[in-house]
Order: sequence, then structure tokens, then C-alpha cells
Amino acid sequence: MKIKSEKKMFSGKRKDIIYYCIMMAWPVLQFVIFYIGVNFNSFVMSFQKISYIDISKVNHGVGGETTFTWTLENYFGEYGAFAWIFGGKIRDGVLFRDLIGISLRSFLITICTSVPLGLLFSYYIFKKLPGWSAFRAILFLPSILSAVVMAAIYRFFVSEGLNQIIGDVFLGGDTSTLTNLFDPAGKTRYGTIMAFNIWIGFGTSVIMYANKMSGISQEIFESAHLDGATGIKEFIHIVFPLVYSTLSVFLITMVAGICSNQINLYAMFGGTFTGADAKPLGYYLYTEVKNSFRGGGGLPQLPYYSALGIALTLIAVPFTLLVKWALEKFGPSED
Amino acid sequence: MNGILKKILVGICTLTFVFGAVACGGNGKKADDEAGDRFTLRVFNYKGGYGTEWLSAAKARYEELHKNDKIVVGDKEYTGVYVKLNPVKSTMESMVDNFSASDDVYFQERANYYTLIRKNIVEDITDVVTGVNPYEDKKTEEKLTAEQKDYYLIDGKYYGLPHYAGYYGITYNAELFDNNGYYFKKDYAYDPVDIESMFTKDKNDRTAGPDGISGTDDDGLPTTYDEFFTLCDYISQTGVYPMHWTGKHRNNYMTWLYNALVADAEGLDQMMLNYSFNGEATDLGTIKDGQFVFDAAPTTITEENGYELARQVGKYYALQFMSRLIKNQSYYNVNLAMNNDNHSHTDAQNYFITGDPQNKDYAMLSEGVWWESEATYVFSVSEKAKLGGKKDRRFAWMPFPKPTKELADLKAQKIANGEKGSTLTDVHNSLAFVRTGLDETTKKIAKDFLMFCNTDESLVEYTQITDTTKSLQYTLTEEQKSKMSPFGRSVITAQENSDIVYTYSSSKLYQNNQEELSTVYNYYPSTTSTGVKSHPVDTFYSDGMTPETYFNGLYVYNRDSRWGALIK
Amino acid sequence: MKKELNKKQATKSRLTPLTIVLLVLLILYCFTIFFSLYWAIITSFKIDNIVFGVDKYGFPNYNKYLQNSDTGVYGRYGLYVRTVIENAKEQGFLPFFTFRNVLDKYTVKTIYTQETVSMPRMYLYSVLYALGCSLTNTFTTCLAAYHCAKFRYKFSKLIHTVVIVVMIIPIVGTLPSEISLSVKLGLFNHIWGLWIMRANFLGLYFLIFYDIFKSLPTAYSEAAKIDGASNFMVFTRIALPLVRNTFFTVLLIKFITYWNDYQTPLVFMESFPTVARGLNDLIASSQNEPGSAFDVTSTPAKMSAVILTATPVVILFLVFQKHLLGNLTMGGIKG
Repeated sequence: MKIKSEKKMFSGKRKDIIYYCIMMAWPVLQFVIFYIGVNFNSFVMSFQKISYIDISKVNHGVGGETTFTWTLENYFGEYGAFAWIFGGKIRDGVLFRDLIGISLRSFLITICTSVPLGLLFSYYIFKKLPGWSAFRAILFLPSILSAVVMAAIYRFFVSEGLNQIIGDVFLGGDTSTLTNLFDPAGKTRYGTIMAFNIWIGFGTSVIMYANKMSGISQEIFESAHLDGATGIKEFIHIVFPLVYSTLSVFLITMVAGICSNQINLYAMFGGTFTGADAKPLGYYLYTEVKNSFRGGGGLPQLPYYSALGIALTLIAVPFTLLVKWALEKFGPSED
Repeated sequence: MNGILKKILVGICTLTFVFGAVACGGNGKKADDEAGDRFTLRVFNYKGGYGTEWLSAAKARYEELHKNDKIVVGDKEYTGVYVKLNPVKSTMESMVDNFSASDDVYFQERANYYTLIRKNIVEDITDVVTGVNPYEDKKTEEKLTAEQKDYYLIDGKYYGLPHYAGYYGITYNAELFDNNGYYFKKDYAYDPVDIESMFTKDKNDRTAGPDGISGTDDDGLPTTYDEFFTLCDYISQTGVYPMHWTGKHRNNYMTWLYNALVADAEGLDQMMLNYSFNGEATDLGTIKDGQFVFDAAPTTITEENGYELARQVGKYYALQFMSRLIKNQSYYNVNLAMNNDNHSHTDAQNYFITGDPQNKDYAMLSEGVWWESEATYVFSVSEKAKLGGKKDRRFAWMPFPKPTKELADLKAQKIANGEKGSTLTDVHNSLAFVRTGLDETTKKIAKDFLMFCNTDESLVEYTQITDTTKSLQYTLTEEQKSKMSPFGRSVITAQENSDIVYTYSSSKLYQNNQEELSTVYNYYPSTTSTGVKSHPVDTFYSDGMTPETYFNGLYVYNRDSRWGALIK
Repeated sequence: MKKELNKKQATKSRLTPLTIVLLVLLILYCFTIFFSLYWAIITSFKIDNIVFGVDKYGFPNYNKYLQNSDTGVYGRYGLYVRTVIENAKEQGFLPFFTFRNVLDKYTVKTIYTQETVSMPRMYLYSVLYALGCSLTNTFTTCLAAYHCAKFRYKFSKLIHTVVIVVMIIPIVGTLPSEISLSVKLGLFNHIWGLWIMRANFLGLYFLIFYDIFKSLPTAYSEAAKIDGASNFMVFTRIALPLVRNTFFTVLLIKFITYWNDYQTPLVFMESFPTVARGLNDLIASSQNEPGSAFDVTSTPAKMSAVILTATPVVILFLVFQKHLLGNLTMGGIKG
């Protein structure tokens, strides 16, 4: 196949172009509808006030014809997106700053625990130290099992089995002084939930770092060893810079996901978790949209949440790009 | 390529395993061919604590009675009626938004009557209620109280009938009470050091109890909150947990208890203001320096100032009760009742009946009257284990203690005068109705079946099977009562001695907000800055909340935030 | 001899304080994973909360209760437990009591169709959803990647850029828009609706396919074309078989991802509950049916449901471990 001119959008044999158009038609159409269309619809909807013509024809949000009028209420109304985000208004019984506070806290905790642990564990696996291949498989296991499965085991083990074991081993069978770690009063619930997130969180990243490390040539290590670099030094000066690109991809993904991270609350408690002590923005958005749509509200409920999504995107995009820029600018280079 | 093929094969094997499991799990249900050439009437029953056994009994009698009836629909002739039961655990509240169910007659709970009428789900059954019931030559309407008629009668028409009574309260283990002597001694002297000296086993040496009359079942039971907690202190001293409830549903269940205590402290007339929003509130007040100070004059309650009812003294008293109970962790098993989101109400019933794995007993259970029926399976296992079945075990409904000595004396006085001294609250909003949109034949038979289920005979049968009552006026003979469990009999006694609060009202405000105003939502104030709804139970346990702060918060929340939204 | 010595030295130099700490951490971590799985499995074999309440983590020892004729030693609760075990035994092989009952009795009540869906049907929906979505998604990705890699039009470059840009831009809260669009297009509450909605090419796997196709030697296709093969035949007969390994691995990862997913089925195909969604419902559920001999919301029943949900994935993991842990590991697989 000869290199084709790239001056025009399409050039080359006509037959090839037709074939190309046919084969790309579906992927492109799908993208246009379900990416561009969805986002465009989101934008348009955020300026609408939707209502049903005949509510009796609506079954949990499905069916029934709608009409709409244009409005800025979803953004600038008394309880609109901006008033909620910046004005300290209570909507649906919650304050924005509480939700985003939990989201940010969860992000920071993950950065400080999962990321370093993941890097160190993958270093261990990469160096093929004793038991590395078993560890690799076991570390990966939690990430292929459904979050619901792991969350269910964790939740019921912690609240039912763990206290019994601690009581039997350390307290002679007496569990009356032990509190349930998920108990809202014990102030330990959030910590217990985050412990779960760390516990199952780094499986995939370990495999990815390890695979990236395996691309490092042995010569670099050998020359480093001659210079007397071992252990921690070797890790910081050789391994870290070389996996930095993978790491930064992970970090950017994490930053981009701050607003949508649900810290597995839904997997653990379903849609009825009410405690402000542990509810992040992602969980709120998912449950509110699902419940308000299906709870009989239907399509008229959605524009507000679209506006909220757009408003949050306006904040999140520059922030993410800033982080990306900073990671590229201040990070070590691979050379 | 071979490797891949092999793997795909293994993948297919995996799927086969899955479908194998599918096949083994089996849709083992047989085709329902019982109807034969009989006409089918489909009856929905809420599959809750009261069970379906009572309905099966009614079905059997009804089918027998009509087995030779000829029913002609078009060119098809049926002989007899087949009542097809559909027991499902979905309340009306969860079904109402998308009412596509296909049954003909419904026995449901959490049914907001006015919403159902608005949505045109319930059929006009005026003839069923006001006509003479052919099965007993009596009008069913005669079995309704004045409040019930007021509530059910809309523009001269009835669309439903009340179903079962869901009183909430405290049940005590009478065997345990007898064996351990948890009864107050006649003329005891209060002695916090030697608590035991205040209690007795001797049946003839007990105080007169809440009714003030010696020789009745309630002798020696606590009459005031103070006595109740003294009793708890004593029970806990004897190595038994005084109170038990579900940790999983604690907020809902314990708020029901709270609501029941409010009603008993307030009495029927004052309590009904919370639903009718029409009348004089005589016991409002405010907290000053930690003391409840009554208003100088009564307040006229209307829909506009309904929030003032948050200042009812009964609400304050009941908060004090909850606070005293929750804050003393020797009164209950913290690990099950508080720190536990898994200990369900059926687990709680189980532990109350059998004791727990450490063989510790629970003296009292916070539950509704339906709990015994709900625990039918536990009782049957218990019977098989030779530990006693439903009819052998002695549990009893406890008359609520009163907040103060004065109110306890007043109650005794009332009973002496032949009046009722207690108040029970029905929490279920249960309803029996016929669905709209039925053809004429089905409608006729559906209405007939509803009448059949409301004869005195059927009502008594219901009570004997479930050990609870229906929310209609009917009495049982001593002979009929003797076929019930001891617990069932105590419920009947409690009902006979009490005024009943039905959360019914003809108030427009109430009818538009039945979901909010008839439920525990009345007691969830938004007092924290985050606006999280807190419950009387968790908040006393975890936040160091005082009854005074909660009481004030409830009022401010109702006045400033909630009422405006409800009035709209 | 020299080699062996080297090896020893190497091991010695690798066992630094850092790696020893890591080894200890890894062993601890694996212990928690194994122990929680052990606990879930043990619990899933117990009969109900009553039997579970006697011993919350030990191996179920029913013979202790059944063999000792001196019933006095158990106390009241013990007698009760004994009867519960006897009752369960009457139903068949005792260890499978809970599994059998969960498969038989656990149901999800759908909102739109008011249907009662049993566990076996949930398996069917899971397979349909996971297999369908993973096939359409992987195939679309592969299709788009091949044509972008092999036909170097400007449009191809555009698609490539779009994939990268979309990965970085964090768009928050498009769920309302997706719901409204799928309702309008008639895709809502259909399994095939999700097959279409998930048939996109966005994401990391596009880039992987793209790189692979780009690096494929062109000699084959040139030769085939000379023999008169059409573009389409080159794609299906030559290119696809060459990437079958990657294709299969991506398909596998996607299948597991969709099998584990519960939030999408919960919103977009509510009437077709999958196993993962059913499990999530059960975890949050308190709807035990009173008066029945089997409490489907008991902790042992929940753990049985967990095991039933996880088993197919665990089998896939064990069989295809090499595929999943191999060099192609770059995306997260979290449901």
C-alpha cells in the first residue's frame, strides 16, 4: 500500500473511498448519535423546561408526549445549578460543598495510598521477587470480580464476621465493646468505605505499571548497579521516571473522574444511602437522576441535572487540562 | 488457531454451566389449572406480616358456598367460582404510579385513599358498604366509626373499606416476667440501691397496674415512664436485655413507637388534630430553661398553622422517653438494635422468641401487633423443637405507661368512670377495594367477595387466624377468643380498652399530602446545617441530642421550611 | 557454577529492606483477599441467620447438633438451631440448601413490566447483555481501528485524534441526556438497545487495535489484492485472523466488564435484570417474606447470591488467566 496524499479529506482510488465510507459508516454514525448527539442534547436540554401533555400516559418516565419552553432557570434559578454550586443553597436536602468535599477527600486519599502502593507492588512484581507471579494473579482478582460482589463480601464481613473474630481472638468472645465500623455514630463509616476502595483499587494499575516496567532494558539497571544504586534509590531514580507516563495517564483519569467517582457506595448500599458523612458527588448524581426520572417525574426532571452536568464540566475541563499540563511540565522525562 | 478454538470451546462450556444452573434452578412452578370450568376471581393480597392464611380460609369457604353457581359470560357458562390468590410484597404506594396490575379485588397497605380515587383506580362500592350484606343481613356501614365514614365517604360514595389494624407498641414476654418477677410490688418504696426490693413474683402482691384495678392482667406493670425505666433497670440487673427491636429498620420502627407514645400521651382528640387540622389545641407549650411551659390559652388549629402542633406536650414527653431509652445502653443490645444494619425485624422477632445465640433473653419487643403472625414460621420451628408454638407461648401486649404520675392517675380515674384511658394508633393505611375497569360479571362477583370478607364470621375468622384485628367494629365471644393465642387475646383486650387513632381526615391539606402527614415523616426534622433528615433514634444515640433541642428543631423546621411546601 | 553464584548474589541484592517490607505487605494483602473469599464461601453454605448467628466465621458443623442426643446441652437457642437444620435436611443435600433456595426463590420485581424475574432468568439476561455488548463494542472498535490504520485519509487521522481527545475531556453528568435520547429513539428498556448504544469505538482499545493494524506487514494484503481479493476480503480473511488473539482478549475483558456492570442495566434495561443488578438489589433489600421457611435476605443467602454471581467470572479468569494478565492490560475492568 503506497502512502497516500493527505492533502484532501479523501483521496485515492474511488473504489477504496466507497469501501472506506461503507465500513466507517456505522462507527461514525454511532459516534455522532451517542457521543456528539448525547452531549449536544445535554446542552440543549439544560435550557429547557419540559412538561408532559398528558401525564396519565407516562409510565415511570416512559411514554407520553412532551412540550418544552426555553429557560435559564436550570442554571440561574433560585435553586439552579450555579446557585447550588456557588450559592450554598440546599437542594434535595444536600449542600454542594458537602458532596464535592467527600469527592475531593476520596480523591486525595486514593492518590496518597493506592498510587504509591500500586507502584511499589508493581516494582516487586517487575523485579520477579519471590512469589511474584502468584501475587500478580491475586492482585488482579479483585478487579475482575464485580464491584457488587466485592462490596457485598466486604460489607457483610466487616459488619458481621469481623467483630466476632476480633471478639473471639482478643476479647474472650465478648463483642459488646466493639462497634460496627459502618455505624454512622462511630464516625468510622467513611473510613471503612475508603478502606474498601483502597483494598480493591490498585489491581489494574499494578499490572499496567509492571508491564510498562518490563519494557525497561536491563542495561540501565546494570549500569545503575555499578554506580551503587539499589532498592529505594533504584526505584526513585530509574523506575519511577520510566513509568511516569503511565502514571500520569492514571492521574489524569482520576482527576477527570473526581465528579463521577461513586466510591462504590451504590455497590455497597444500593440507592438509599443518606449519610452526608460519606456521600460523594458521583453517587448523588447517579441516584438523583435515576430516582427522579423513574419515580414518576420522567423527562421533565432531567433538564436540571443536564444543566448541573454542564456546569460541572465547565469547571472540570480546565482543571483537568491544567493538571495534565502540570504533569507534563514538571514531571521527570523518560530519557 | 487451534488454541483459540479450544478456548472458545471452554468459553461455551462455561456458558453451558451457567445455563445448567439455570435449568437446575428450574422454573418449578406448575401451570395453574385449578380453575377448571369455574369462573376466576383474582385477589391481590399484600404479603406482609399478617400473611395470606386468613384469605385462603375465606377463599375455601367462598368457593364451597358458590360451587354450584351458574355464571354466564357471553356464550361461556361457568360453574362455581375460583378465587385465585396473588400474594405479593409490594405496597400500594409502590404500585400506584404505574397501576397496571390485573387483579380484581385488593387487600393492600400504605394505600393513600384519595390518591387512588384521583387516579381512578378504585371502583365505587357504595352498594357494598351501605347495602344489606346478603351473607348476614346487616349493613357493613354499621361497622365503621364516625371518623371512618367521614374519611371514606366522598360525595356520598364509598370507594374502599378499611382492612387490618396496624397498632404499634410494646410486647412483653409474660413467661419471663412471671418467672423472674418483673412486677412492681404493692406499695413498694422507691429504692435505687436495692431495686430488687421493689419487685415481686407473687401474683397477689402486685400493684394495681396501669388500669388501677387489682386482679386484672396488667397488675404490676409499669404505670409511668419512671416506672418503666425502673423496670428496665431491674430487668437488666437480672441479666436479661429489657428491650429489643430491629437494628436494620430501627429508624422506621422506633419512630412508629415514638408516634404511638405521642398518641397515647395526647389522647384521641388532641392527636386527631394532626390529621384534621380543625379544632382547639389545648396542650401546646414551649421549652423555657429546660422546662416545658404550657401556653396560657388554647390555640385554634387550621391548615395554615398546623405546624403549631409540633409544640404538643405529648411530643415532648415521647421524646424524653426515647432519649432515656436510647441513651442508656444497658436497656438494649447495642450490637443488634443500634450498631447493626443487618438485624432485620424478623431476626429481632426470632431472638425475642428463642433468646439469642448466647442464650440471653429479651424481655420486651418494640413491634406492631402483626409481629406474632409474621413470626409464624419461627413459632412452627419452635413448636417442632418442643419449645412451644404460638398458642403455648405467653406473650402479651403492654399497655403504654403514661409520661407522669398525674396522667397515670387520670387514666385510672377514667377507667373507673367507664371511659377509655389509652390510645392506639393504626399505622398502615390499609385498604380493601375493587379495581376499576372490570366487566360487569367480574365486578359483581368482586363486590360480592368483598362483602363476604366483611361478615362478622369472616372478621372473627381473620382475627382468630392472625391474632390481630380488622379496623371494623365487631366483637368476639369469650369462646371465640379462647381459640386465639394469649398474645392475640391481649391485643383484643388492649383494643377494647383504647381509643383508636385512624390517620383519616377530610382535610384537604391532609388529603393532598397523605404520604407525608400520615407517616413517620412528621418526626424527621431537618435540624442540621446539611439538611440531612435525622431520626429520633439515631440522633439520640449518636449526636448527643437532647429532647429539648430536638423538640425545638422539629417546631422550627415545621414552621419555617416544611409547612410552606405542604400548603402549596 | 559461576552462573549459580550470580543468581544467588542477585537474589541477595534484591532482598533489600524495601522489598522485605513489600513482601510482608503483599502477603498481608493476599491474606485479606483469601480470607474474605473464604468467609463468603463458608457463609454461603450456612442455612440462615439463625445458624449463622451461632458461629459467624467457622466451618458449619451441623453434626454437632444432629448427633448429640442430649438436647439439654444446647440451650433453647441450640434446640431451635437443631430443628432448623433438621428442617433444611428434609429438603435434600444440606450444604446446597441455601444455593438451591436462592436460585429458586430469589426474584426481582421489575418496575415497568411488573414482572417477577427469577435468578435463572437473570443469568439469561446477563449473558445476553454481556455477550451482545462485548461483541458489538469490540467489533466496532476493531472495525474502526483497522480502517483508520490502513486507509490514511485525513478523516482517519481525525478519528484517531477524536479518540484521544475524548479520553482526556471529563464530561460530567451525561446520564440525563443519554436517558432522554434513548427514550426518544425507542432504545430504552431493551437489551438490544444497549447493544446499539455500546457499539462505539471510543477508548483505549481503539488505540491498541490501531497500533497493531498499523504494524501489520502489508505484504499479505498486497499479495491478496493481486490475487483479486476485495478490500472487504482482506479485512475479514487476512486482517481479522491476524489480530484474533487481541480481539479475543478484548472481547473477554469487555464481557467481564459488562457481566459485572449493574448500574447501566438498572437504568437502561430495568425490565431485564441481570445477575449483578439482582445481587445489588438483594444487598440493599430488606424485603424478606415473613412466614416463609427461607429468608432470602439472610446473610448466608446474600453470600450465596454473591458466589453465584462471581462463579462464571472466576471460571473465565482461571481458564484465560494468561490472556488477561498478558501484555495486553491497559484498561480498568470495574463494574
